[in-house]
Amino acid sequence: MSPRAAREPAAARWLRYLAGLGRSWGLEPKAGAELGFRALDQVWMHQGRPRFLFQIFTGPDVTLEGALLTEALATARYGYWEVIAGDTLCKFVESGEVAGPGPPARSLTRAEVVFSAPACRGHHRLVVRCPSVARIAQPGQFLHISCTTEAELDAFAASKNRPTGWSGADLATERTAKAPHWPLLRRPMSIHRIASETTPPAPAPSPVPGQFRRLMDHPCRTQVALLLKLVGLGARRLAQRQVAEWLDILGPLGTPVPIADDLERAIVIAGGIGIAPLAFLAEELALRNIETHLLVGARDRERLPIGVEPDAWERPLASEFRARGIAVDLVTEAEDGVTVAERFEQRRDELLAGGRVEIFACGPRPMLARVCCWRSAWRAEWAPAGRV
Amino acid sequence: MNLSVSLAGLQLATPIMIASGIWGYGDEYTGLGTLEGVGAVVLKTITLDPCVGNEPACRTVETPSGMLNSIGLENIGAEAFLADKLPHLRDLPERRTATPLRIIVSIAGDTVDEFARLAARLEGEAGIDALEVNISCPNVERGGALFGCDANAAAEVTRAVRSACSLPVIPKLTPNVTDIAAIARACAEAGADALSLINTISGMAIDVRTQRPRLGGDFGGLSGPAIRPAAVLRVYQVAQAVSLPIIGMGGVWDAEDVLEFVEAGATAVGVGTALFFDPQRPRKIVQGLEALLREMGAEDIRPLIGAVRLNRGQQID
Repeated sequence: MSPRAAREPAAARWLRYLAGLGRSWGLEPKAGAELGFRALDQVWMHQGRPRFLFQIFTGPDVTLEGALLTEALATARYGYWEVIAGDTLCKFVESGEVAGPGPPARSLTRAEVVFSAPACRGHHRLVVRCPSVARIAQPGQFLHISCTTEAELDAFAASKNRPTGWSGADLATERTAKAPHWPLLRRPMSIHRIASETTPPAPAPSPVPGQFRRLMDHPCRTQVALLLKLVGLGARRLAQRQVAEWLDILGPLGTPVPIADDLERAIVIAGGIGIAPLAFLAEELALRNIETHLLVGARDRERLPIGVEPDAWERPLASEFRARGIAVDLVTEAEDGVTVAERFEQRRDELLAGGRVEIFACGPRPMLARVCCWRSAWRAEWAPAGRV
Repeated sequence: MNLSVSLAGLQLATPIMIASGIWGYGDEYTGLGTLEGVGAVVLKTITLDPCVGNEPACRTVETPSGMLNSIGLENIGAEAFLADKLPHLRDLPERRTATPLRIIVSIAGDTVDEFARLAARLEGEAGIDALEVNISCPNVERGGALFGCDANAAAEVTRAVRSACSLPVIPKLTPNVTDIAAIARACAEAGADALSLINTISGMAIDVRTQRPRLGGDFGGLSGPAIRPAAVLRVYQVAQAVSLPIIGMGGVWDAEDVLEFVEAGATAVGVGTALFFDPQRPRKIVQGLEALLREMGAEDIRPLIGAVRLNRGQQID
């Protein structure tokens, strides 16, 4: 255990995480709205996760911040909490999540496309509204997405036994000429980022218990962003989806990236499309107050999906990350003359100095090989490359 | 409307089955409503000892109207299956109905003796209704399809499993043979209670730019609608050769596909690749099947088993 981890009880560490989560929604305690937490001495493990009972205090009037914070907590995956608003005790016991097996870890759902635009050369960004996934998704997980639209499925059902087949009308076009007569298999796409609605819910007028419940029906985490690399028919077809169209989604699936409780520093190395899952990871690490260095590599500036250009949500992604305390280093072979793995090697001593550190990497195999060549005990792409 | 059928002494609520390897041991499909409308599930093939399978990078490739897979019988082994998976499976709520969901365990081995030992180990375990004997996996070098490609070897494995346990024995046949009817006859004479067909058709896809096979394991098994006509013919040929009930499968998507297999001679029909696309296919198929039978004026699916009449030799009026 590192000195800091040893000093801090687990609950306090998680409270720091919660505070970070609150800040990520733009919550700062205001004068007069005495916002605070108190963790009760009830910490227990459930399904490998710490669960604890804590209380939230707000001032005499429930402020927007307090209400939003409640929602943030609702998305924070700890099943048991109390809210104390002024003198009114609003107790929310999510007993199902604490005592039982919890809600299904995945669902088959329809998600509305809320954003669809090229992210950079050869990449496309899709944002869908999908609260059931957004609430529970963890870094490293993915969605299984149908590339076939409902209209195509209907056409298929109507004409499947006719000799021409359902895609006959498309035969003239170049790429679809080879399209199978069958709906394409689902495509696995990494969860790139999780976001809240741009418009926050209205402030709660009074501290009545039911108010929280109503607001909790609109939790903050509702949107899932995907970064598609346009190779192959499936991704191309997904990139054609327009705003207000629907995606058929199965997820979240896959094993989340394990983040050690006592981790102090993290180095996240993404090559090319490897940024797709690692952006989410970097944000989660920053939320947990883990010092995060994000190295992003691409062949050239045009192919850098997280650039200094405004991103899908009209915000410069790299600077947004920096604002959250993530040290971002963008590396392109064409302009900088080094690959991201070489940059890591250049900065290795500095990056690995001090504290308990883990390396998370995702990218092309040569990059992974180079990143881990200084360590023999490389396990798999997803496994932490090692602890120092 | 009766969709219930009887297969190797087991009553199935519907003729819809989930083919081996799709549903795993059920964990991955929890909460998705996949079992609705399903009469029986065939679990992912198990072997005596755990097996890591083939090269993990790229085990599936989409192909026109289908997919290639090369998993290589990755599984957790018999002991872990019995300890960790079976208790959960036997307690499924679908098992507590009047006609419970049937659980069929698929088994494989490198030698005849391994098949027999595995069957003996599973004998008497509550929650197992039948054994599917996988003598047709195209993705392992030893064992696997070698048994399914030779009538004597297929019969030998069937006989060994038959005498090692009292469960219904259902060999699964490969289409990658010259005469599938001969293999079917050999299995029937060796004591099989039903037959399951077809396993995947062996195939290969090449990335022409790198001159490398697209599958990590180089070769694989083709499934999906691409193989359905081939599967329907094999079911017909086997139905003509033996009197055993048949589980037909290969590229089933909807109710019409199911009825195609049934009329070719299948008593039950497996759904496989389609579940990867839509985990709720079985429910939709059953709804479609009821509508289709109603449209055809049929009250019961059983009279339609093997009802196909060939055009050949028919008088033209």
